[in-house]
Amino acid sequence: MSLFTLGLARGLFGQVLGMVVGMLLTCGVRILLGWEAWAAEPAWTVGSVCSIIGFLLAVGALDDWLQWTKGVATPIHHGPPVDKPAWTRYFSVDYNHKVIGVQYTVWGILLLMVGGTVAMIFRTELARSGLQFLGLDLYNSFIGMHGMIMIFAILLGVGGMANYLVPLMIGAEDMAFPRLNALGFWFNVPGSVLLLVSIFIGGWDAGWTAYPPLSARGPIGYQLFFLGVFAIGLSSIVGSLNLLVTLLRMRPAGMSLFRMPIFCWAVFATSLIQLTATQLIGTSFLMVSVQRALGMGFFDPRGILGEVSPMVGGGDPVLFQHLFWFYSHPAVYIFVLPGLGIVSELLPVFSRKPLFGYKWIALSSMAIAIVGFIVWGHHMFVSGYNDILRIPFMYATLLVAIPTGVKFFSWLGTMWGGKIHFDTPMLFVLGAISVFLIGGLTGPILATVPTDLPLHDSYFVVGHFHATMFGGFVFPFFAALYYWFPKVTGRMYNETLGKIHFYIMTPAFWVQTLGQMGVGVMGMRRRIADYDPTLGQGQIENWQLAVTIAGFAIAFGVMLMLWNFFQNAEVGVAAGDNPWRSRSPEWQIPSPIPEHSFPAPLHVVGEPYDYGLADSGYVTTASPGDD
Amino acid sequence: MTVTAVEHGHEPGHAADDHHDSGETDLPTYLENTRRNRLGMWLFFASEAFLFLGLLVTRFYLWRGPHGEIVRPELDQFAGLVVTAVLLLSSYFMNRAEVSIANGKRTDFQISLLLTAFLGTAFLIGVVVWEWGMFPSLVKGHLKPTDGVFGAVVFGMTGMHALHVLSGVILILNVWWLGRKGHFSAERHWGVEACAIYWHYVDLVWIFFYPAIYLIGSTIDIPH
Amino acid sequence: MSEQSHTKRKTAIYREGIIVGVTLAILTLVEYYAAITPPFDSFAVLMILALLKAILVVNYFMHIRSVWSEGDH
Repeated sequence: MSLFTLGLARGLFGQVLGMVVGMLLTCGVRILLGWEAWAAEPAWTVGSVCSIIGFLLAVGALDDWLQWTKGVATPIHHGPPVDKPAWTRYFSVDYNHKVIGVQYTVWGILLLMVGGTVAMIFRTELARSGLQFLGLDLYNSFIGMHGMIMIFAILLGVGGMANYLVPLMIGAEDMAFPRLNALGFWFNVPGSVLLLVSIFIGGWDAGWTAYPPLSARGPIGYQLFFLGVFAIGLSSIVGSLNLLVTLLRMRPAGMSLFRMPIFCWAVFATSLIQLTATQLIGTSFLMVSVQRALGMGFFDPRGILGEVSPMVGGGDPVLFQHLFWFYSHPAVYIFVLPGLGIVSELLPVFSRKPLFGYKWIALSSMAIAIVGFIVWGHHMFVSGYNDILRIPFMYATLLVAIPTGVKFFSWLGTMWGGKIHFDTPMLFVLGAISVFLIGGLTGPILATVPTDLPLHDSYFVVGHFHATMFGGFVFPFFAALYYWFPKVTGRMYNETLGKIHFYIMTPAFWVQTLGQMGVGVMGMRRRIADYDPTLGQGQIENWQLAVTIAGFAIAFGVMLMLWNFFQNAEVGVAAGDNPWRSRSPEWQIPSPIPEHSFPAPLHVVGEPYDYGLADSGYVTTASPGDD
Repeated sequence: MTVTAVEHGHEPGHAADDHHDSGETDLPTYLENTRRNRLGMWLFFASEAFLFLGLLVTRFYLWRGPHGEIVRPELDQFAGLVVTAVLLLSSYFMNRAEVSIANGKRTDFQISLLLTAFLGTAFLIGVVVWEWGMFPSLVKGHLKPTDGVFGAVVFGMTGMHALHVLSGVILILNVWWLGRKGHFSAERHWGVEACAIYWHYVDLVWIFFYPAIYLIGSTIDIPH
Repeated sequence: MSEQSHTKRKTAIYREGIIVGVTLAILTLVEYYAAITPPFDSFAVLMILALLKAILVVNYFMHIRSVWSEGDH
């Protein structure tokens, strides 16, 4: 069997080929125009565009559509490939949502590890003041890299959970558009490759936010960074479109919107944001990209009327911040809403009680998504925009605390008086709640103008958003991995190792986030490689060291989890079909799930979370008889 | 992306109908798939709307005079009106093509499609040659991309729109060619409908871009 | 449905396209002249005209109602 039986290998080869073709094309056009043949920036830019297309063509994600342009119908092949080993489907284009969900999740975990490694490197640098082994530019590239790779990883993790679970939870055969689903995943691979390669051609040293004018003048790595983000953005858009159509059109009879599993609501709200807001990060990056490539001065403040009236015709970098944060703030809700959905999904199962206030939780997700669109300005309190804008953005931001509070109280109400089982997934859910509480309570401090002004761009902000990301995504994601691992593999993970992971990671993360906030209050700025050791009455180095040690402890915990999964995926104890006694549709079918998930259409017979109530049930896969 | 954002119908609701891979789907399945595709297409439009809204916001944010008033560069008004009219006419013929195939009038359908593609190409030539001045020996343009925010926004907006027109023309020609080979019928023509609503969407964007670029605000001179 | 009423419906659909097209053309001309006729050259007037055109296109050319109506349009 040659390596090229794997779509992934073919795709990466196609990506290199596309890059070369794109570069040659650029040189050719330049020669025709009578210019010097080689220019690094245009060559890498066009090459990167072609490399994404090359990857998709070579991996085969566009095959069916190319057939359709010729009028040839292409029926979907179900099941593993006929002439290759079954495992190769995970490395090639496959249209089954369960395969795509695993592909998303695994690729997401890989990026999570890369991003974590990068963080460990510069965290080690920060453990002592002074510069030990990282240069200033490399440090800057690394923090930007950590940020963007983690964002990719989170989007992939969200995509993995949504793609795997949503069709199962609504009893659908697959997603509405299986081909689009596969394309959505495969966009991510060339995108993340471009992002990682960019570090070798100069990197991008203005942080993941890529504010002009720095990004408009920085190294060539920026063009690759922008194109990588476009690829991931396209994946977000087609993925969310697919999920929305699936949720709106493919529910079984009797499953009204308010009878869906609660995770579906979270995905619905997330998808609405992803579908629309993602365009704006693309637009803002495209503008910087063409400003670099073609001299179109969107953000270049030099006017065209020169001395007479220098303000007329000049661009404005603040516009970039508006466009950028119009995506990048709602993006935070893209990251946390599915995680909060996982918390709401798992709590009733492990508390053996109905979910408290189902409708309120469902609607609070929608409320967060909608309010999320009008709060972007709180990132810009110090940008010098019109002062009048500060107050509305402040109040809009504080408004987010209300639907978030609804979720917290409903979680407490769900656990109250329940028979709680402290299995590993439940522990991570509780960890998520505690950590998200830290992140949530520090939010209003940063949303309020007078307290934000001194804290802006300090490590307090870093501590705040790490708490929201861990509480809103990482902890629930790990809970989901432990919870659905038996469903995906049919095997049980090692419970003791899982608990050790939890008891290492949770206190370590508290130390990390509170430590980051602490050094922030002492005066540590964001994105600075070095700091004054006398800050905080000379205590700052101890705090920094504590944060670094906590970071390594978290990394150790994650490795423990991966080892646990790796060990037990093939040979672990058989888990049975429904080890958690859940009522959700995916647990009513065998583990691992057969190719066609449900043998017969679902019948919804009751509310989704009536645990502990006599004579209640949610779905049956057999027909009720009189039907 | 637009071509690929729609799926033909081969996936009926459930595994229980295990004969669904045998080529032609039955009509109820086809209609259900068309409903899904239609919703998907409109969600795609909603997504794209944010891209074009972003460009409109950029235009009104950046094109300001010394006292904050809305300004615009002086462009060729005649060219603007002509290309707008051409795109409008193409939208009419696209509608005619869709109505024709829905009523089974294939010749009318084919001719209308060709006219749409022709007018779309005319629009592209109008923008690229006339407004952009890409071929200075034919027509000298008014602006260069490097002329501050005026050049940047004009080229950014018309460029992004022209990209969509180009993909639309390719899509129309593809549909025309498939129609010539005998594809599509009065009952089953989702491909034509997708192409039609995409083309109308491109027209819809221009409905807002035309006044934003050519009509709104007082003119300002740009020295060269 | 009888053959005659079917033909009638067909002609009506064709006529609808022409009427919408002509209305759009008239609105475009109104826009053009409004832009050079103060006080109608304002942002609000021109955007309202554009919005009217957009409603016509979305409703008659793009059949937005077919997204939520269960029947075929």
